[in-house]
Amino acid sequence: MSDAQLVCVVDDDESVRLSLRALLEASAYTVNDFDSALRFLASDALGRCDCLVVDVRMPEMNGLALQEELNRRGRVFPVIVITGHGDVPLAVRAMKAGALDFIEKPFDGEVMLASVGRALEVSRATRDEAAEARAAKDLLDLLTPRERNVLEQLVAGRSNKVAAYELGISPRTVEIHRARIMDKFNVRSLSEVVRIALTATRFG
Amino acid sequence: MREARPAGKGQSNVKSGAGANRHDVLLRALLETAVDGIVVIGELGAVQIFNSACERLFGYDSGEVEGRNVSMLMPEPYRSAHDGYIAHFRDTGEKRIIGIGREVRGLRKDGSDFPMYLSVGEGHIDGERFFVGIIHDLSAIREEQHRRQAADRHLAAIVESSDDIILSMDLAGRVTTWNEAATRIYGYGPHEMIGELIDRIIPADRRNEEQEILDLICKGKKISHYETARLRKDGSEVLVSLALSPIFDAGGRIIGAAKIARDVTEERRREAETARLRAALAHAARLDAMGQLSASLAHELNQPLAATMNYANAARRLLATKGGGEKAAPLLDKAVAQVVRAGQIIQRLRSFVEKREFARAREDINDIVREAVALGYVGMADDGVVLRTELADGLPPIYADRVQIQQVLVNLLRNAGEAMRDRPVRLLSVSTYGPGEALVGVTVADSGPGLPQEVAEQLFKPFVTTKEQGMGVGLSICRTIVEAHQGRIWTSAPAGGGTAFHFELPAGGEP
Repeated sequence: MSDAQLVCVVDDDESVRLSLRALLEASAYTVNDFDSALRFLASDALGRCDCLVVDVRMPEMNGLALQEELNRRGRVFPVIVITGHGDVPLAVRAMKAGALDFIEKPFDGEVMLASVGRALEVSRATRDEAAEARAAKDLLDLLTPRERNVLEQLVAGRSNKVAAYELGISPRTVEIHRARIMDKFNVRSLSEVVRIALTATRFG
Repeated sequence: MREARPAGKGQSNVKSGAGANRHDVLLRALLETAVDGIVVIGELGAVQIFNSACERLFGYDSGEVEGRNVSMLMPEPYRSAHDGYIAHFRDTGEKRIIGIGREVRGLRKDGSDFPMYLSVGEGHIDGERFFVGIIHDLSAIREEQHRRQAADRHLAAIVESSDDIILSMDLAGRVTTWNEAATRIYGYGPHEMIGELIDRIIPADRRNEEQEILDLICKGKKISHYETARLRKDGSEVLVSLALSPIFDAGGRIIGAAKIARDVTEERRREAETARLRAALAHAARLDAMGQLSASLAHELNQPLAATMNYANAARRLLATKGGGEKAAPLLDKAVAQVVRAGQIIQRLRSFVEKREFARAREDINDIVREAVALGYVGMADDGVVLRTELADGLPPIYADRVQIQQVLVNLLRNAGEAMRDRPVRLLSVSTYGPGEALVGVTVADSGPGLPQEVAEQLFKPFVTTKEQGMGVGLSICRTIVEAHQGRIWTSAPAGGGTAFHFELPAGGEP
């Protein structure tokens, strides 16, 4: 499950950071830890990170600022924010900034592990989707401009007739293009064609 | 003077000196140069000789007196009694004054009288009896005596009316004088104490103390501000502050001790009450400070709790796996260490908010600073405040209330942190220093905007605050605490900006 996935822990408090690392490693996760947001941003772990666990209160750059910086850079791995007592407003801001979860200290290890597990699944799914999207885009690239026009009409839910009218061609020609598209996509149904088209556009 | 014989009966014989032989000249010289008055009277009291000293003493010329009854020189009641004396002596031969002398009064021409010592002798010429009176003026002596007596009475009145106990005793510790205040405060009257041993009012466990004092007195030493306890007649104790000095006799030998004792029971009670109030106020201020620190402290406490939980959970998971026990053991050790850390935080907190009396002990200023920083710097690191501590080596110990000095520091640290909240650079520096052999100093400096002049002037007054939270008593209490330690606290504006608070305490690990 956790074979190649990497969990990154960022917390300035050494005891919390190292103990969290121990907990995650006891669950066989691969962990990198950092004592500041800036160190994390500067490391090569940034590119391999599947799940970030970050303390919201830190000097220099706090957890929230790190999240914002990651968003700005287009890094999309799930973020779990650790908060102390009384930091609920910060936690809410973290969620709005796209955090997957926030966990109040002191936390039950099971809660943390469950959250990390979920995050890694999301990460994997996200990575799978990204791969699918890339594949779908590759398929789209095989189409001629006219075939693309026809595909757009089909994704928009138009019938052969309407599509033919819109494009100023005969319904028969639309059918021929459709068959070619299904051929190039190597699928048997129109619904599969639409799904590939949507997947390709998801990660524009 | 018995041998001195008048040269003749008549005044002319003595005064004129006509036909005087050598003996007469000597006699006249004696009469005229004598400092004391010499008067010779006949058997019936008529004055025959009245020398120059008499003229000076009584203000009469001899011519005005000679031939007249000597009683003119006496005020009542001597005057009326005089004829009777002479008659009595004549009739009975019983001497009242003759050959002995006594103190009587003389009457001057101007009507005033004066004390004099009169000695009278008796003689006969040709079977006729005469009396010689020598008059020694006692005015000056009496005046001096009166002055002394007045001074003594004055002194006695002061001693008696003194609120302080004043008494004296001999070197054996026996009471020789005992004033009104001694009676009032100790309950024993002078009749009960004079001649008695002072031990009576000294608690049994303090007797050797009194002996040590007497030993010092015997060496001529003075003792002052010596606080001790004494026993009242009713058995209760009274706290007194003693001052003793040796009493010397005319030969300069020490013969006893004069002792002034002030009843300081009430004073000490009031001081204790003040200290109690100050401690209560300081406690209230600590609670106030803790209230403001609570969020940061909860966070601080959460860290070891979170770490403990993590280590424990990690260990549990490892123990569930094959051969995980070996890996789990060090994690459990780490969990224990974190629990200890949490315990220390709670311990520190508890002693800080505990209601307690002002209690001083021998302390190391650096230890106090380290503990105070652990409390006062809480949460500041997360806000980007950089702490720099420079603790000087080899500082002398101080005699201080640890918690109250920590309170001063926590207050200064929190103020510094708040002052820097909106500043790009947040540098908090804490240092200790030894400004002199007898002092230790602490400086807490920030990189805040500095203090406006009008705030700086009001700074240590109560209820003056620039903050929205808190009572505004923090710095006023800091000053109260520092001054209760005989120290001082002040601010300065460092050259590089910001504000520095300094306080200095006297060194010395003993009261």
